[in-house]
Amino acid sequence: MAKKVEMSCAIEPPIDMRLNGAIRAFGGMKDAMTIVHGRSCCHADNFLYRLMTGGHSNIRLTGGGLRLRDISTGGHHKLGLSLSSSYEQFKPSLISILVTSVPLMMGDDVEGVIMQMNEKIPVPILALSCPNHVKNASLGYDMALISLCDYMVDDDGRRSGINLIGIKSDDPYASSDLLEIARMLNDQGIAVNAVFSCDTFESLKNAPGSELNVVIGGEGIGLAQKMEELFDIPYIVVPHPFGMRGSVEFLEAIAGSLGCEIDEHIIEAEEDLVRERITRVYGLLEGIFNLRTAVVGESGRAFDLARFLNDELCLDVTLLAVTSINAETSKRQDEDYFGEFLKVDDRLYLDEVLKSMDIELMMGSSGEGAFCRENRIPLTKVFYPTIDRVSISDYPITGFRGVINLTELVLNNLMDMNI
Amino acid sequence: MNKTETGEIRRSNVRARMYQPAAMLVHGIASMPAKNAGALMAVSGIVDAVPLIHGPAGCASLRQMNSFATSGPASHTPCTDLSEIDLVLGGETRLYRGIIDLYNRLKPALIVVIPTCPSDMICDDLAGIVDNAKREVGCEVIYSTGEMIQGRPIGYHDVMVSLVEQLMLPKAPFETIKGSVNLINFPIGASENKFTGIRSVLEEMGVVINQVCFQNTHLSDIYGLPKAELNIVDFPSPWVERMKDHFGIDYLAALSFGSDPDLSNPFGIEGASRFLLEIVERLGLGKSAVNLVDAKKKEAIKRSMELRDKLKGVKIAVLDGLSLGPGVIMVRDLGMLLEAISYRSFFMKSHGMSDAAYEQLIEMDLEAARRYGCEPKILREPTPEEEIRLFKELGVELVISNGGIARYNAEGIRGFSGTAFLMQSMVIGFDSTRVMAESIIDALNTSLKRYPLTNMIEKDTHEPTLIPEWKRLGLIWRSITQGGDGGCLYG
Repeated sequence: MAKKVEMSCAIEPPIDMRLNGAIRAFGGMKDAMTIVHGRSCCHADNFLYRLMTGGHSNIRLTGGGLRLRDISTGGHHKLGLSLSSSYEQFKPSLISILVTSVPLMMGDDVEGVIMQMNEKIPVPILALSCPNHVKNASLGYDMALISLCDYMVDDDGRRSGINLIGIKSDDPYASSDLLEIARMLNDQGIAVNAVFSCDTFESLKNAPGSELNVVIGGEGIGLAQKMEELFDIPYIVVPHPFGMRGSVEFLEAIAGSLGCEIDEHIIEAEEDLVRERITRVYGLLEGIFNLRTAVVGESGRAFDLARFLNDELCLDVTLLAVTSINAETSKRQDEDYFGEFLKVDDRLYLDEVLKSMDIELMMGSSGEGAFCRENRIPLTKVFYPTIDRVSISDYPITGFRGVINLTELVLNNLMDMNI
Repeated sequence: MNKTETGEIRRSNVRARMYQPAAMLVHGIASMPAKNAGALMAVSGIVDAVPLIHGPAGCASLRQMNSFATSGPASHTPCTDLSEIDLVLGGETRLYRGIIDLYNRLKPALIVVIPTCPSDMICDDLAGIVDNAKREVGCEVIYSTGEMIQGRPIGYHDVMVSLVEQLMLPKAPFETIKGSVNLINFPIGASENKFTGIRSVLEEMGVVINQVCFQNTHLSDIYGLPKAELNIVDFPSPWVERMKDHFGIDYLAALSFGSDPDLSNPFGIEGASRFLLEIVERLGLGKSAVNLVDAKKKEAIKRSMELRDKLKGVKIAVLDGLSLGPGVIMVRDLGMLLEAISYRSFFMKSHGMSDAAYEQLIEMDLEAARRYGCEPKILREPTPEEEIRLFKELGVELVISNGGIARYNAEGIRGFSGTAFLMQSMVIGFDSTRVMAESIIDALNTSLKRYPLTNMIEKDTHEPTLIPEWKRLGLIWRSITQGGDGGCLYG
């Protein structure tokens, strides 16, 4: 059941802006450079979040350096400096410019700068408008990915393997999750080609060589639709593979689309491993039955995590609150593995709803930290933005191995809270 | 401050220490903190105040994490959520309603309206709206002027000046409490209040401590500020200038960057004495107060003699100069031998410092060192290998560094984090030399880290605390800002 939202003129918005979505899409490309063309706020804030969520290495984000005085003279000169210096320092394969409110309001000729710089910089430069009032990070992510279609090559028309769409490099445990997903697919004989967007520009350019686009959790569906239109590549939307059931469904859906069978022996072996591990904590799992839980996160992952928590870990998902919606959200918001559904437009309102629900466990991000500290609710951080956890080990929370790790995270978190 | 208290401060600041090296990237190396970060830092100093960011959601959604407080995200950063239509037709109605809504939702004592670039560009009349909305709510409402007040950090001073001119000034005149002072410190959570060490001496002199800011400071405390006779502040600041202009309250700043690192240094026994005598003079306290300072100084010297004897003659090297750091106190109060100073200008020049100004800093450092019989070797932009080689040749036992201590440890040289000590433990007071000496002895007795993992990480050739990627981001940022307008990054 959807929760009715009261709108206010003083809201605390979640991180759900086009700019942030686009930064996250380009940020995962290992050889791309992103320029936030705007004033310090837009650049420094996103830089800080990138630093805290995506790791300290492989940050390829800079700014346009606009100052107050540039508002009267224009920011084109500094954008040119940023482009040439970015190329000089990193030699990226692609440079994306995300144009924010101030240069848009003052009418900076970004296209003109790009045309001029194209003569000096031998790599593609693209620009997207990302004014600060435009919401929906999921759409920003999608737009950024769609912009890559202009550079895709489809030389011989031969197709094999799949592309994964919807992986974000700065989600908690993202790199481990990707390894686990690739492992599961590889075990079934399915090759992964391009990963949007945790890959190189070269690899993404060759994405039309795949026979299927797999959209995970509905994130990046616009790219899949565009590639179907341009290159005649079919796509499927699959659940984010949280839990045993989610992982099996993920593999079945992909195998089904490719016209092949999944190897049941492998699935049984995975089940055996999970069974052996969870047996070690059987008593604790019985003890947390129907624990009142809230899930607060992006739509692309939140529904499938909630389903795992309810159906498999046997918690009571009292509230499913999504901080960013995608094309799949409206189709899923009436599903039956959670109590209330809320699209979060205002964190202050979310706090009010949570307070009324007597929550015992929160599955969220650092954004829920203050509320959980104040109300002594254990918080397991599994969503973006998680700015106060590091994940550098091989510790997936998706796929078969993710079942064990997520269970461990939840139990340890609950036990730590009571020390 | 005893050892237990120092330990408590250290423990409460572990997170701040952890985040500091990476946060420096946002402080001039690869980007610059924005005006709203500074404004929110100012608002966060008042416990019962909440900000209201007047702008689109994008200007507020990432605001919970502040580059001035990376370790402690803000609880609330609400905004008026301006839409595209508002940016055409004006956002004044939303601001008016936003103030009322925010009051009804959080019931703060003070709402501080913080403008954004879009609201500035559409020229919303913040003063008029705040004036109207104030009649509808049961709290104070003020607005910041964004970035009209010059000074670093941008945005911080605008809020502070607004406090003076919109909250205090309408209530003037104030009755002055004779012989009273405010002790005012920058509201960064990780920073220890610099004046805790002189509080008891001031009280013994008969000085009334009117307010200590920002330490659990409420709106009511802000109203009390103009009753003091003197503002004692860590750094000179436009808002204390305004208090002087409007209420005739003079101020005394303990620290100022770019001046003699010895004579302007308020830390250590000598520094505390000099600073207290300045207060005595400003308040006209007379001979008995001077005698008290002298007596306290003698006691402190006597108390620290044993520690001084332990550290006297220990050879040290200082990285990045003596300004504001503990290096001078080590030489002056503890008799340690300054053998070398190693300068890497990347960070300072990223902050817009000219070559000439940088050279002047080096000259001042040398002059200060010579005053205490030291003739340190000067290294300019050394490679890590050159630096280590010289330190070993000179028999350096302790490096005063802002980071990268493990690198020296691996070579058998111990390290002491100057920035962490300055931020978290260094206070003005007669006890400060003892606290520092104990910390140095701890550092000298700490086991060497022989095979640091961080030494496996590739670093920039000349900036050994920056990985190559960070340096490249820094170079891009510098080329944008310097090429764009010739140097200074601020404004």
